[in-house]
Amino acid sequence: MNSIKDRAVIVGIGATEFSACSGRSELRLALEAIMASLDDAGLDPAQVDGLVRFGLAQTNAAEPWIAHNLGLPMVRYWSCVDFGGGAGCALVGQAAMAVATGMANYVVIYRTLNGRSGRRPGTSETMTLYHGQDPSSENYGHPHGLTAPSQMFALIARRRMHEYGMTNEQLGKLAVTIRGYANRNPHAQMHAKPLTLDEYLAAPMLVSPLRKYDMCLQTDGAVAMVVTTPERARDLKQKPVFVKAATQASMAECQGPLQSFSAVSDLMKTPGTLAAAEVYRTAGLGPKDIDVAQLYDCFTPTLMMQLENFGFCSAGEAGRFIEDGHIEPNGSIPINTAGGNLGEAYIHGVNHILEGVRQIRGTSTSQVANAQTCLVTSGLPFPTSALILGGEQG
Amino acid sequence: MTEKNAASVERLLPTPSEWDIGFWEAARQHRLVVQYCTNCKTVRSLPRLMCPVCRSFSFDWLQASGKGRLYSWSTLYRAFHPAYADIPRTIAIVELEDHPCAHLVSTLHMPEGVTEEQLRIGQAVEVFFTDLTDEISLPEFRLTET
Repeated sequence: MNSIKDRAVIVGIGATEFSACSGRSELRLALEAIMASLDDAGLDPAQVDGLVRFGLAQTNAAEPWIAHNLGLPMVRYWSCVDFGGGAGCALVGQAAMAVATGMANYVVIYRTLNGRSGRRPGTSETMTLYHGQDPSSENYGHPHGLTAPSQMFALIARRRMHEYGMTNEQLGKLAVTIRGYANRNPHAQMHAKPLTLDEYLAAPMLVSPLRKYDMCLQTDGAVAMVVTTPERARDLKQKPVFVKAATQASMAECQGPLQSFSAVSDLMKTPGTLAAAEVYRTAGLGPKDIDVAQLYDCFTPTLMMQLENFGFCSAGEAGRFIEDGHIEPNGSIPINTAGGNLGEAYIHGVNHILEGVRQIRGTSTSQVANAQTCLVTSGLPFPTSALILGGEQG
Repeated sequence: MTEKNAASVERLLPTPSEWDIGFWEAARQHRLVVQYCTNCKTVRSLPRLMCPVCRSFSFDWLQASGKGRLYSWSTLYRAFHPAYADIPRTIAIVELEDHPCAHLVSTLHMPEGVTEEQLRIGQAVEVFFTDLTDEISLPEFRLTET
């Protein structure tokens, strides 16, 4: 059967604290998170023979240097998935393929950054990391001062207001709901900071129509996880979390890693619908079968696109869907239950995968009762990836 | 590639590439053009080397009217880049009137006293050109109706 379904499991997760200033290097953070994930799995580090790294790296934590520090006797697989926020779920796809084919036994996935105290995502400094990868943005966006991702999502938000009647209040309700999940998570950066709709609306407009609380956090921290086969998982500590489906998704219109929608003819056409079709088809599931979802939320309008692209509501209906309470803890599809990029930490959505694992294990701070399937998505509307995690084989 | 303007802050300049030298040559002459495939005649939303429809490497440029309509806009109230710190500043996506598949990002120049509250999707705009260097002139758009 040509499918990744049930051929790989996540058996360990680990994370550093999430803060505005880690006081440590990105390398140190990565090693700490990796060791925590191995301890969580009950695995001797020397058994690790595969490494998968998140690509948009501002760091010296490339695979050989990590192996050098971990003292890995043999590494038989490594890869790196590039292009920023679309890469997260693809990391699990890569690791799953490696173990399913026997190319590696135990693969560690990691993402590390000092995204608040060091080089901050979304600024002109980070823009230089993409140099050469997105010629359209460099020639047709940057010269006009379109240099930050928030500006592009602002353009999308304005268009959504026109096409769908989306309101600032709907964006605000979304921000407030996700913050509520963060408030229930002691490890979230925004744990101790509740947010009301009045506070949301009173916050300064930064790049219209987006305000301060429409934007994700800036975070210092690292996360890691361990992937192996279901057979090997039997010897380890945790309930294994099954990879039911994993896909990457892009299309010709996504011509670059980040600003790839700067001049397409339809801002609402995204690879999210392609990713959704793939993961649902290969898992044999539909949106109604998903118990909980961790959706990439670099900005609030992004999250609306996610709800629509992945079929939880129809196109343009996300605002009303949120107003009707569907994403609340007792709603039809709780989302971003650890607080997401907006409230937990901005680890480019790799933290979302860890929360998906917790939901299936039953250890989330906003646990959905008997959650058996969790959808995880990566950034839109650029080259992206998605993942469905499950609690059982079959 | 950057260039120092009067304020000595480096502004970001385009790098004409094998697939869009023609765009920048036309811009230097204050002409707005769109790229099209000379084999299948498909107009492209963005310049590129190969035709995404018929895979030909042959392309040329069509003169555009320079008129368009606002597809979207956003006003920046906090600078992200030191060369674009004259805030508030508005960028827009402009849909070209005669080639609607082509959407261009641009700074939106508004008449004195006009703010973003007065902007509407579909508002008419027209191109003008700003000479940045001896080689590069940048197409930008301004409102033609308020």
